[in-house]
Amino acid sequence: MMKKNGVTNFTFSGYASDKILVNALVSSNNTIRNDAFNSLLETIHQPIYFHLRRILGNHEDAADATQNTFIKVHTSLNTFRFESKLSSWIFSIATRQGIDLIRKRRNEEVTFEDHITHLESDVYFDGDNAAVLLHAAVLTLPEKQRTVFVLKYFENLDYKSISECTGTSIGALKASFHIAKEKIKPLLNSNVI
Amino acid sequence: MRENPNKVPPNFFENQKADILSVVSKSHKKSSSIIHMRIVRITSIAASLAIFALVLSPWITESETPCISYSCLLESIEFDDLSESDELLIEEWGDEEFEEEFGISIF
Repeated sequence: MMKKNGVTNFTFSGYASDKILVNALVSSNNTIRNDAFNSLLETIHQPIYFHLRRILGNHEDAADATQNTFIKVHTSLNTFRFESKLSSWIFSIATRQGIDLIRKRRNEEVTFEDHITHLESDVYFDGDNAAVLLHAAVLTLPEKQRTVFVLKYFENLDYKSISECTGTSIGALKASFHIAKEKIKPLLNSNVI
Repeated sequence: MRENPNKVPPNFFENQKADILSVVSKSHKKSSSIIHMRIVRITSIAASLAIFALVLSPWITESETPCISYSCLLESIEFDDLSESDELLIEEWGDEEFEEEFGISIF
């Protein structure tokens, strides 16, 4: 994964362009198709997983959403119109998968303190107190603010790329990020831990 | 602060990659076989229609009236080789005269 000027720029090894890769991904030749999917996963599997992990807050949900994302990519490739980069399109699918899972869990009332307790006992989370507070605070945000915050703060994407991923205007994204920061600040200064 | 504290189980990415590739490979085979079945079905319907049209084609005249009697068939065949005066002559004949001339009874 390369980052240039805040824009996530993925290079799929062995494929000179998104178009060549997509053609290989939909090829009727098993070897060509599997090689292409292999290259796609080698490049973007981990970034997608960690993106979903930050949004969802635990390994199990992130793993499920990651698997669903790549299956969705496979079944929807014929709808990809090259209007954005392939990587942005895949990120947008992943983000939607993440938001869907958050909505399913919406009725479960989980507090900031609950998130802290869960992260501290999570064997797959290895952060200091500051990291626990930050990740727990992010998990208290509503789904859209959480998504924008993760893409802006952790993925370091610019607003244009986030707009492609979420289908939201840049103005609305700036407002969401500002509100998210305002909500997170007091939680980071709390003495919960 | 930005160091990633999120960890994964050992070999998680390798295992999930294998799972995804397996699902992708199976679903492609399934969709390929569905497409293959559709092609076979469309081909057999097209072949049936072609055979049906081929069987019916001699029975369909320009007047769009199905030519289903022997006399009708005879008429359409014989008149092709007749001159205009011969046609007029035949039209004037009664059925009995026609039978005598050609040895064929009219239905």
